[in-house]
Amino acid sequence: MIFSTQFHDAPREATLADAIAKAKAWLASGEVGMVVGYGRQSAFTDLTMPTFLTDPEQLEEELVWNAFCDYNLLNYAELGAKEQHRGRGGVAIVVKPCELHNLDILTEEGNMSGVAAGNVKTLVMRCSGVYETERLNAYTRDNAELQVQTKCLDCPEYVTAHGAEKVAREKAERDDYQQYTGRIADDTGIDWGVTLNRCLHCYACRNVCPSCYCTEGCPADEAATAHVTNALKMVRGIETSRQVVYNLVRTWHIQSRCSECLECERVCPVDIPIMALKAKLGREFAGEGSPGDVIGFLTALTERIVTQGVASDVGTGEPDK
Amino acid sequence: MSVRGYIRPESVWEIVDRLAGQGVRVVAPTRVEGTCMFGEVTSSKEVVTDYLLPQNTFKEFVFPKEEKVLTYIRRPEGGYAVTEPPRAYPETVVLGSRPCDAAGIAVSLKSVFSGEKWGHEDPTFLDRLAATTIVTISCDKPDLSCFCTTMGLGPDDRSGSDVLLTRTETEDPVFVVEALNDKGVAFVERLGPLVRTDHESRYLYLMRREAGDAARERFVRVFDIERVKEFLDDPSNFDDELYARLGTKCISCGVCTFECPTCHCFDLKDVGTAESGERLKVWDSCQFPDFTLHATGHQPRPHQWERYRNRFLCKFKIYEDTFETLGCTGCGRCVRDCPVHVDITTYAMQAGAKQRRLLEIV
Repeated sequence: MIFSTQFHDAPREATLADAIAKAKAWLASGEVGMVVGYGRQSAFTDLTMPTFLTDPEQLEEELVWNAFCDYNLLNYAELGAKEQHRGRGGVAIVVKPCELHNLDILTEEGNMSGVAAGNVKTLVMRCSGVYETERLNAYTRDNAELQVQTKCLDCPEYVTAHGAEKVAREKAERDDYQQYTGRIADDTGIDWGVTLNRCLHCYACRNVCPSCYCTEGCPADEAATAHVTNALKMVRGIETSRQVVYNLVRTWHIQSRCSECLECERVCPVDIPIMALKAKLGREFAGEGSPGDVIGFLTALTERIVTQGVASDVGTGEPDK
Repeated sequence: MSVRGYIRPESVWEIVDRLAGQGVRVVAPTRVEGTCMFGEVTSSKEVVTDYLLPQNTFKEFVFPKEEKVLTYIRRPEGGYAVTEPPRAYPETVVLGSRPCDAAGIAVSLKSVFSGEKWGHEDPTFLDRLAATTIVTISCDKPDLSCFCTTMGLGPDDRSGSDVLLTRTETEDPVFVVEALNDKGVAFVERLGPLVRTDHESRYLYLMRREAGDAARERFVRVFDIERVKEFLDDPSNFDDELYARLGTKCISCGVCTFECPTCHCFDLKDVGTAESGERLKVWDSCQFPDFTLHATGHQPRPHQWERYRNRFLCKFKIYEDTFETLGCTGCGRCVRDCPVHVDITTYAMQAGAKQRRLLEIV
């Protein structure tokens, strides 16, 4: 996880009450027009849904802060520009310390993302780890024990909260952490042709990515990937699939701006190890700089990454191939 | 009575070995990375036996996520030669489906693609479904997101299945085998000695019913679907504040649509050049910003909350009005896997509560 950020020393809110007091004052003075925070999903669970509040009286009732606040609210940072446009200051967003790097990217690229120090204020919570909420679900029956996400084990805040010794033990004991770090270092066990073709093209990884903010013209969107897949076939004679092209283009596109928050891996419905792909791309193309010829570059990408031959048999349900 | 006998618990997955030996494509819950998904298996060793619900539905085996519809090539003498791929599909057995998936795919999806209610038939879906035998295993408990009983189904519901296996809650549990149609009867006959008949079928039926009732007790009814439907039927609620308030949370990905057993929208894409190419049928999602985007640039649903309203209406109103089947079977996948935990049942609960309040005032 990447922690070098200009916001690294932003003041932390020790409790939810502190954050609410701050947000109330901002709302009252008109410095912000809206608070983006975590609210309860339903009466039955501890899970959280994003909530957008404009009334200071609602804050205490609606906001929650617990270990189920797993996703990144900076995805809604563009609301800040909208609020400012309406003449209501901006937004205050509840963020975890690990997400501050994303704020760095968003403000640095503010002319495109619309995020500026003036329209996004942060309520940085003191965090002691967030749970892997998928363990609550049905697919595997080991619902009993919740554990923190793999990214938390590398987080200095988590180490401060739980002690270096406990964290080191947890790292050694957890298979998923071992698998995650192992794959980043060495991906030889992964058949990229098969793995990437599992992709459903649902865009969850892209839409949840806090470094992605464009609303149109995405180089990884449906039309662009179909066009590139076609061009690869026509120009270079490479048979590949939209799924492979999508993943390569998207992963390459966020390569230098990724904060390794692992949100994409968390939300992927078919569990593609995206961080391992990112690491592989980094190794393969180290020092080569930005490509000028897009098709040429993508040819190199597909040839070097998906070496398992033809990867066009995309439908797992497609029997007649 | 449809009871055909019983299978010993340890023998249930031996069905895979038996069928694979007979050249049948078997789809069963299998392990993919850290999760459990429906996939093709060739041996009982590949099967995950302690699953509750696989992460995907078996929809992709009757309605592939990407399918070639036709190929074209320009003839030297002028004009184009267009060929359709042959519609021959292998015999498939889906083993270990759940009642929500069986109802969603073999009843709801079929009601769309059969065209009975609206006149547009999709033979590729129907041929694939005809070649598929759906063997459902009744659930014994829900997780936090299951809500099939709310939608009028249940852990031992028969709709859509060809064969239903229900584990009895007796001291020596067995799986009671029910063949629900001719396809199911033929399937049970193929299993041969795996299906035992040394218990009286009346006894098995009672044990199976008892297990089903006990499981049903463990499910919670989350909201009142009648109230939700009333709320949606009233056109004055179309611009209710509920939609903008809850729909803005959605990040516009397609996880809920692609994991849904009843979502059926697809896009046709031409890929190629003027010389040759192909037409693909690919899954599409009503949550994407380019869904319903007109060629003029006009977008009738410009905001994400309007797209989410469409999905909500589709599940609880449009499906029922147009195809007369359930638009939602309560499998709960969209609740479990939403990246930002948006919960369609919370949405429905709030819509229902609004309707109840209106009734009280009247």
